[in-house]
Amino acid sequence: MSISLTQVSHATRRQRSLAAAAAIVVGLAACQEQQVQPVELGAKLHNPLYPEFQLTDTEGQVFDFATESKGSVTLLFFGYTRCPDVCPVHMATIAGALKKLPHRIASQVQVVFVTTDPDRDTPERIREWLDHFDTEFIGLTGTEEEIAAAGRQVKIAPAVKEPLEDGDYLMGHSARVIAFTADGAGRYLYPFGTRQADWAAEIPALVAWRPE
Amino acid sequence: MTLAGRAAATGLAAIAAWACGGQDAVPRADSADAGLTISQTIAVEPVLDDVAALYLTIRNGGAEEDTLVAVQTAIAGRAEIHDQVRDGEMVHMRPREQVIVPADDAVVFAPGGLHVMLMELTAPIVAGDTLVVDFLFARGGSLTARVPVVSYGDLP
Repeated sequence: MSISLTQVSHATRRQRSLAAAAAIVVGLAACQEQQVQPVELGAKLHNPLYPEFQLTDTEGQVFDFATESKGSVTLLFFGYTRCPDVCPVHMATIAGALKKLPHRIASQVQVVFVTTDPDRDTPERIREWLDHFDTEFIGLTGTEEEIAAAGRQVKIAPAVKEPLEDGDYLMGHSARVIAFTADGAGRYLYPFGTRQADWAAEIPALVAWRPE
Repeated sequence: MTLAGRAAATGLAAIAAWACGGQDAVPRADSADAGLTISQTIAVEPVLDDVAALYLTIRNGGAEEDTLVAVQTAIAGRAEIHDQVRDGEMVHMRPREQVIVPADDAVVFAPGGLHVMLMELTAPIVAGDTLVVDFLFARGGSLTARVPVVSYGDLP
C-alpha cells in the first residue's frame, strides 16, 4: 500500500497542489469574489536542505538537528506560543492527522517546533503548549542568534517583533512547515492552509519516500 | 477518484461549508433593513493565554456598503480586529480599526486572515461554551451572534 501511495503522491503532486489551491479559491469565492493567494501544497525544493544546527529541547538537552532528523520524517516549524492563529492551527492539524493515521506510520514522524520568541517562551511554557496538541512533539529554543541562524539554514526569514498598543507584542514569522525525509533532507514545503486531510494524505507519502 | 482528489475534495467541502454555512445571528430591529447577516461564527479555546480568536462571515445583502467598527462581548475586556497579512512566506499581524463590507458582498474572517481577538478574558473560554457577541456596524447598527467555542483541533 505504501508503495502505491508513494506513486500516487509523486504522480499527482502537481495536481494536488492545483486542487488544494482551487479548494481555497473556491471555498473563499463560493459566496463572493475575493482575491486570494493560491496555496501550493508540498512544493518540492529543487535543492534539498541539509541544516546543521543545535538547539536545546524542553528537557534542557542538546538537540542536534542533522543527527536527529535522520531515520524518521521530521516536520519542522518556527513559531511562538503566543501566536494567536497560524501556529496553533498548524500544530493542531498535524496532530489531528497523526492521531488518525496508523501507528506504524505516525510513529515514523517527529514534529519539531522551534520558538521564535525565546524571551517569553520558556522551555516549560513550550512544553505545556505543545502538550496541548501532542505530548510527543519536540520543542526547541536557544538564543535569538542561534534561532535566527537555524532559520537561515532552512531559508526561513528571522521573526520580527511587532508591538501592540498595550506594550505587548506579536511576531511576524514564517508560516511554512518544512518536511524532512528520513535521510535528513528538507525536501517539501507546506504553507499555512494545509489541512488535516492534506496532512493525512501527505504524511504516508513522506514516510514511504525513497531516493529515486 | 485519486487519493489526492479525495483529500482536496474533503478540504473543499470543509472550506465551502465554512464560507457558506447557516446564519447564527438574528438581526435586531435597527439593522433588519440593512441586509447584514453574520454566519459561520466560531471561537477557539485558548491554549495557554487569556486571548481567543473568533472567526465569522459577514454578508451584506444591501445596496450600500457598511463597516464593522467594533466588537463587544462580556467575556472579553477588549475585542480587536486583527488581520494576518502575508508577505511571501511571512505572516504579519496588523490591527484593523474597521472592516468594510461592500454592498452585495461578504467578508470572511478565517484562520490565517482576518480574525477578532478576544483579549483580557473575564472568564475562561472552553470548547463547548457559547459566547454572546455584539458586532457594531456604522450603518446597520448592532448584530448579536451566538458563537460556539471549539478547540484548535476541531476547527473546520
